[in-house]
Amino acid sequence: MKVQKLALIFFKNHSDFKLECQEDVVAIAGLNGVGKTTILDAIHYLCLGKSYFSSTDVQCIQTEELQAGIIAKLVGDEDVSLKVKFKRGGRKVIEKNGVAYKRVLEHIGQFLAVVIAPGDIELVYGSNETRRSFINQILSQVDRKHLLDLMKYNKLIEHRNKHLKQESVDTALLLALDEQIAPLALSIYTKRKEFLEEFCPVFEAKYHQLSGEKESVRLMYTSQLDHSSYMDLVDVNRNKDLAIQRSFVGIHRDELDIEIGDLSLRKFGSQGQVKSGLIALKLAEYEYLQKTCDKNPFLLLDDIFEKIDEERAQVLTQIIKNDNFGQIFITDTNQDRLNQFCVAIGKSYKLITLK
Amino acid sequence: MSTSSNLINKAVEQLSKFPGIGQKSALRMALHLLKRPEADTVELSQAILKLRTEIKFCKQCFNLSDADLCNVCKSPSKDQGLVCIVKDFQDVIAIENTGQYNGLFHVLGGLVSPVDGVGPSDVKIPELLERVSEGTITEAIIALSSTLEGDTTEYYIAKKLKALGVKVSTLSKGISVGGELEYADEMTLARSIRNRVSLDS
Ligand SMILES: [Zn+2]
Repeated sequence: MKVQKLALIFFKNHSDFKLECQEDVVAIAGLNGVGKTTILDAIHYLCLGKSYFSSTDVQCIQTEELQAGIIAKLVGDEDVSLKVKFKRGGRKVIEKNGVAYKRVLEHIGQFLAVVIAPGDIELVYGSNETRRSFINQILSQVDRKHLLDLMKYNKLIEHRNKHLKQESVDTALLLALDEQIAPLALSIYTKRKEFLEEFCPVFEAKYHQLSGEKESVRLMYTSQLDHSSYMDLVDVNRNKDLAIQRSFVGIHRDELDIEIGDLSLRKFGSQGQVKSGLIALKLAEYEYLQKTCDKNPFLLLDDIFEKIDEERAQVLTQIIKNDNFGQIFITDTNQDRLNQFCVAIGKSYKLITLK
Repeated sequence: MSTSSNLINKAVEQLSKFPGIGQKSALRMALHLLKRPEADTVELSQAILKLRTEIKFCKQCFNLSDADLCNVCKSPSKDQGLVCIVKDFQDVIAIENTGQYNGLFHVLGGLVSPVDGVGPSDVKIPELLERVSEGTITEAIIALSSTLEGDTTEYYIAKKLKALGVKVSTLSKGISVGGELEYADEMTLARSIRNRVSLDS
């Protein structure tokens, strides 16, 4: 599946942007601030119904405007038109071939995208929440039930936390919530475990390919549910819940850490290891989605050469050249470097320069 | 809307406050009243005024009522040991219309939703428990929508009622996915009342 036409209206720094492209590689050059990344974000939006770089939809609407939209024509086994519209204070609407989905989540999983961007560094140094969202996002694209479980789980925990902040806490009400939370927590936990068993070997292989090293690499997963059931845990920690007025127990407290050679990458990794680790994580995400869904995700590369050294850039270019990828969108401030990349990949490409 | 008469404008403004009534429909209603005999309008306005000022909530089940006890609670043919717990009046009407149910009701007036600051005592749950502890009720059917709030309320009530020795069952789920009872068609609702699922386990 390829994007053939793309139009952005009042979306971030593009008031009226149009792009026609059928090539395997779409390379976007230009200085900082001209809206290169916005184009990648628009592709991400079309696939996942949300921005990769901004946390809310409103941030993606130009300040003077009331609404924004992304329109695209995709070609492949069948031609598809996609449209995303969102308003200030309004509901987001996604249309496929002119028909709006009842719920945005019905769209998720049909079109896949993987982003590699400088901000990914947060996956190493950020909180567990960042790493949890990383795997949540992958799983949400391949497993609708998991996405629904997560949404319901989060809603129930929100209810629970709100009630824990009341002056008098009704333990029977906590129990009524917990009885609904328990099966969801177990199914999310089980799914995460299953996923990581499949994902970690891919991650390790990608890391070895990128770094030329043979160290063991994994996403280390620890959960309170490793040793007890949710119901037992809440029972034991009831007083703690009441004291901190928040839900102390559950899969929203799961920990994920990236380990290289049995050491935490966050704490002990060299700069080189961190760079290889991050790209390996993203390439593993790509391969996992590709194999599980049996289709090629879009690969969105944002300013990657700026942040990685020459040697790694060469290896990455080789991997992209040799392995099977879907349409690639890539940005760079350096037009020559971008041109070299396009030539090295050896596929059809279109290079545009934004001003 | 602006017409040649301020009286009409005023009436249209009020009538268009009804759900689903736009300004055009409101104007049609107002003109209709003017075409009909004056007595009709007097009767209508008296009915509306009486509805609003004289309506009561049943002291026992919190259903809408003309007297202290509603017609359902007063009816001698109803099974006094059976109560159906619903969210609001529309649910009572929907279940009564099935003709499959011959017990009493308890109208909660809302669902437990901690996020919105609605706890069990903000709906008629304490009243329900008090009513049950008084003795005649032996069986309860919980008929709430299968939303997160509906389920939370159901779990809560079921626990409390079972502790009081009441046999508890719930409507078979999926009567109207994510919807409210009032939208369930009568046949599906009737079936799910007959096939209610016991929660005694
Ligand atoms: Zn009554």
